[in-house]
Amino acid sequence: MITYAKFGMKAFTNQLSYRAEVWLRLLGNLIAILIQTEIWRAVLGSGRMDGISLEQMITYSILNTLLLTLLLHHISGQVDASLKSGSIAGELIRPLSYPLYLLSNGLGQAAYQLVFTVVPSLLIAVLWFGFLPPASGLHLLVFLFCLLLAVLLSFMLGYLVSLLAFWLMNHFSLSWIMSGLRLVFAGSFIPLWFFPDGWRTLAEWLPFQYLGFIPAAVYLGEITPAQMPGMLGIGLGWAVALIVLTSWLWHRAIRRLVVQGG
Amino acid sequence: MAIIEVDGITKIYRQYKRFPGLAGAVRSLFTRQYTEETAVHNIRFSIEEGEAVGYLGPNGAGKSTMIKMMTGILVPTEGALRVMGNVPHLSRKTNARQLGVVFGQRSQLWWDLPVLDSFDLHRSIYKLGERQYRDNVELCTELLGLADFLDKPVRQLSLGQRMRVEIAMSLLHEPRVLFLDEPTIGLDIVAKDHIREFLRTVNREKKVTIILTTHDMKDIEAICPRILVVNKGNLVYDGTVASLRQTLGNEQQVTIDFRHDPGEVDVEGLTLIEDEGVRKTFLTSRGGTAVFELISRMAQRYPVEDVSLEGADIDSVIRRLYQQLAEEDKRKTQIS
Amino acid sequence: MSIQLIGTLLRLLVKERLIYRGDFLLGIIAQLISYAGEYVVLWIFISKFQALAGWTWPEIALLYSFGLFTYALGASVSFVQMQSLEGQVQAGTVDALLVKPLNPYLYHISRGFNLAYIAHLLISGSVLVWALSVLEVSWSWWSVLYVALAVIGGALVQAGLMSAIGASAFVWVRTGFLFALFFRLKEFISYPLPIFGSFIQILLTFVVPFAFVNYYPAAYLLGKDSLLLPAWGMWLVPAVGPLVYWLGYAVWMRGVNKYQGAGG
Repeated sequence: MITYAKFGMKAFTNQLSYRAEVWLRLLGNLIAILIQTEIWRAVLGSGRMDGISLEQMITYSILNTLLLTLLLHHISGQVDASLKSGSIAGELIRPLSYPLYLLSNGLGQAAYQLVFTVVPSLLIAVLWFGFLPPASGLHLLVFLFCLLLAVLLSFMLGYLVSLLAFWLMNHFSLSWIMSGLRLVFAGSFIPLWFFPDGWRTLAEWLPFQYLGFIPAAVYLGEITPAQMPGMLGIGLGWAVALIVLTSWLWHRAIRRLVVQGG
Repeated sequence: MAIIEVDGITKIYRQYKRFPGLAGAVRSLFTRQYTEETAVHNIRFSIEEGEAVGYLGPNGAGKSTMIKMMTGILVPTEGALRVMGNVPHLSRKTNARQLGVVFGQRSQLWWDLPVLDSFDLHRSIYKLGERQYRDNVELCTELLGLADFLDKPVRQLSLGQRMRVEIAMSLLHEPRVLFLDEPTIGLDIVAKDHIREFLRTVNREKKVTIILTTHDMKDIEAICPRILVVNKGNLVYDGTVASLRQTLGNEQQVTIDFRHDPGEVDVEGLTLIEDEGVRKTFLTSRGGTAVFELISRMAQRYPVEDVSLEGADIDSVIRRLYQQLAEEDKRKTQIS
Repeated sequence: MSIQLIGTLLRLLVKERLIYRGDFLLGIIAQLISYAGEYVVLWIFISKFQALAGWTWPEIALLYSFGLFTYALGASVSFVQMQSLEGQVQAGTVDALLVKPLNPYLYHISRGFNLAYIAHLLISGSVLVWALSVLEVSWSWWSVLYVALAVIGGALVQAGLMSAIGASAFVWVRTGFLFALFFRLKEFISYPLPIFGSFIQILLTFVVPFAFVNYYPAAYLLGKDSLLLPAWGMWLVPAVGPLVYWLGYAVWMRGVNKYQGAGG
């Protein structure tokens, strides 16, 4: 357990050396929030759509933009790079669970982003764009839980891409497909409430909504306490399903590696 | 007029100081603080057409900088440089037509495609006529033994095969001057021999001027009668290997493995430089047969298991030269 | 750089792609899905709100497609080529460009010509054609010419900007930061610029001329108010592209000069 924590710390301190990247992410976040804010302002103005106000949409945009920096789907790129450079051999040989190693590494990176990108971005966003407080204490708590769930699910999905890429021998295209699905169904830009019916139903059957829409909707109070258990249950169900799927693929992959002589 | 004329060439690299952090990055946009490093200092030599010259020196001596200036990649800071009558960086394209360059570790071949495709591209780049192209490909194929893998993708070739292909390609457009930067590095003996033989033929029969940098002195032995040696940016020797040997003195290293440690050994003409008990290394300035006399005298007194002589071959000559240069440098830094 | 050389390069590039046929196809599918996603998001938005700043669905689709199409064209002759310069400078493989009897810029971008953008062109091209047909833009010889020139111009703006960024590889070696900035700013032009206020419009017109890529051409074609530029400004559109590209090329060549250590 301590070992994994150490990896997390190492990932955290590694990132510290990339200062320019921090400024860039900050700028990137602010630009993204600006774009979304102005778009919502253009269509909502001082009015509402389906009961949703501009202020709520601004908060929604800020939450989603910042959440994106914490998500871990990019680990598939790191695994791919490690595969191509050969350093993966060294990582696999260690007497550690590779997925857990990846996860703790990812959490370290997320922690870094949280402190150095999310917090400053949030501060600036609050001052510049305005930010609503959470709907209630309960909502805030569940929101935080949903955040963790989102990070975990994004990790699982990234890991899934890595595994599929191992079989298909092509990472770039798979990760692009995954990000295309995420773009539409995570609801990062457009909340699921604004989806046409058919699309909304489809989105609700997929795990991507937990990567953006659900946490933000909880925060804003658009998910009632009555709906929470069901929503959480399904979310956890997705996590379990993905863990099972990736474990199975992982074991098949290891066997294939061994068979092919590494 | 010599095909390459180098007169008082100096190359100074300016390294702009980089400051750490973001504040530093902004600061470095405004300051012009820099450190200067002299890679090549006031070098002067000339090479006639048809010569084969080795350009040697310890690592960091400024060899590749000089080659880059001659090929037009870098611009000298001072001095006059003419290759085929032109200033290389000003007549880059014109000279490029008649230059061939082989970078030892940086391939110019198309990785996934057959060798012939890279050749074909080369033909289009240098605008070679059909007949000229075909004849040259045939000639190189024959002399370098490329026939077996002309249609194989480059990635499937061994290092030796790849290097042969690179060298062949560099000659397809019949350049007047061929620059080679460590062409035999990492190759097996057979490949090296093949390439050396080929380059010698190309130089002797086709009169292609060859400039070669290498750390393998056998390359020099096989191909280059003349060597230019640089150290820390300065030209320290220009001449043949034979006269270098004479200049350095006829000192030879004799390593003797005794049957038992003879303790202190005192034989006139032999100076002990390394004592490892049973194995002792001596220095002698006696040349030729006198050395063998010394050794047999030694063997009469103390039983000898094995003897090895080093000194006459080119590797030793150059090694001794580098050693001398390193000692000089050390002395200079101690004084300053 | 002769026609024959370009022909040979093209042949070899296609041959190379066909060797990794599977990857190439998978890449095309990935791009189609990914950009279909972008269109779906825009469509979902407009379905709900009918219009954005007065731009209806076909108009938004036109705007976005113009951007994507010109990007694909411009990037095919600049993005990967410029992004790889950083690594090539570090590895010293840039030298190979300078020992050939060719213009290093032209050879570098031709050698790296990226066929993968074909999927971008397919999807954005089809939506572009669809949008134009639905919108009943008055078609005359000059409006067709205008569209063609605007497309080329838009591609040139982006290729020129990316070439300038690539040049920084010769001077500072790192290009990642500038590329990231490039893509961030480019996000603005997927939407009608007036909604972002004058500062952004000024930035994207006079500093980093992204607005000329798709906003101004679309605005003129659709008779939209473009605020900053007067009506005759539409004739600037086809001129900005070549200008920016020429500047990018000049900056790149200056970068090579710096690399060679010319001028001390």
